[in-house]
Amino acid sequence: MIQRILLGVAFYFLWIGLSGHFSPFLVATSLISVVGVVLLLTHLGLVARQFQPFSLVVPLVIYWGWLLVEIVKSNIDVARCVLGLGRPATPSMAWIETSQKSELCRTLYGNSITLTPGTFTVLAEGDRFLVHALHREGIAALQDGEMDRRCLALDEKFRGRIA
Amino acid sequence: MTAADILDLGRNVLGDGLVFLGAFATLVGAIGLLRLPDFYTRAHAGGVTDTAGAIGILVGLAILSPDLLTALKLLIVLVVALFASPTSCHALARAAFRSGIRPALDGDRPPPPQPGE
Amino acid sequence: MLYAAAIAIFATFALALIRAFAGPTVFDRVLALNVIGTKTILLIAVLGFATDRYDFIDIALVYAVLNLIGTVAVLRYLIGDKESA
Repeated sequence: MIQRILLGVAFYFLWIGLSGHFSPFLVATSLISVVGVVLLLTHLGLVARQFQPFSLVVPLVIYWGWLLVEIVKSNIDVARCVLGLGRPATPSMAWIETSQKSELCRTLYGNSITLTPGTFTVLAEGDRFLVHALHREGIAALQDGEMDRRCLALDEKFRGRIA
Repeated sequence: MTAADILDLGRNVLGDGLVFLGAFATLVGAIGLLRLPDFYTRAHAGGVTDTAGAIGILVGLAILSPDLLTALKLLIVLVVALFASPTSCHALARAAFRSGIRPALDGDRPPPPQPGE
Repeated sequence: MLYAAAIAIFATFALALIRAFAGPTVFDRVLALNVIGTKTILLIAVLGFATDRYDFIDIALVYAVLNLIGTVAVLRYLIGDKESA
């Protein structure tokens, strides 16, 4: 129940943010639509029951901050390569082992690899990713595993909440 | 000049600078789309326009925006764009790999493994 | 500055269109079209600010959602029904 209320509150803030109108009629209709959407999601079985995704919000925001710095650094790398200022491209491809147990955090890891320019996930099979990198240092950095460790920490928090 | 004026000037300079950096990154990514040798390396250039371009321009506009609600909306657009970008990039690379396009790799690397290995 | 950004985005469109016509594989073309789609979001937002019409951002939001669906749909069509793209 608390899960559904939190979801409803999140949807309501999204509604307010997107509309920007506060007349009584629109606030009333927004309440009706939020309740309707939450009921529909419950009916479809899409509301998580065993764990609280909202408990992951603060660690996730910290992780995004770190990821933003990585994105800026690798953007500069790729831009220098495109403009012919830095090292020439040494395209490489390798399987990367992942240590996350939950699908959610493995998806987060794969998406983080793809979001950082210079590396992207080509295939995801079981618990390993086939990664293509513009420079071979990109593969080495992933095998070094700082991003993997950070995603694993999130994963452990997440699974701790399920249990 | 009052303190509010200076704050406003700083906000404008910061926002314009970020928009400029984003537009520059977009242009660099497009040049990479033309210059890089094969599909997989070009996908990296597409990633530059999707991340640096979108972050720079949308955050810059959010700083320039006149009210909080507009800034919030721009950040929602940014989050949607940042969730969509890796999805489409991964779908593209996977579809290309599955249909047998192999990347040109650097000389001293082993050949790429086959799918379903 | 906003108009300069808009011009840079238009130049990006032109370069991506060259790649879309040149190919050589069909995936290069889809990649170029995907880049054009995501840059359209930025162009709508920038032009909305340049002309003081801030409601354009809502259109940009809808475009951001639709663009992803478009790319995945084209790839699904290219791969065929054998497996999901």
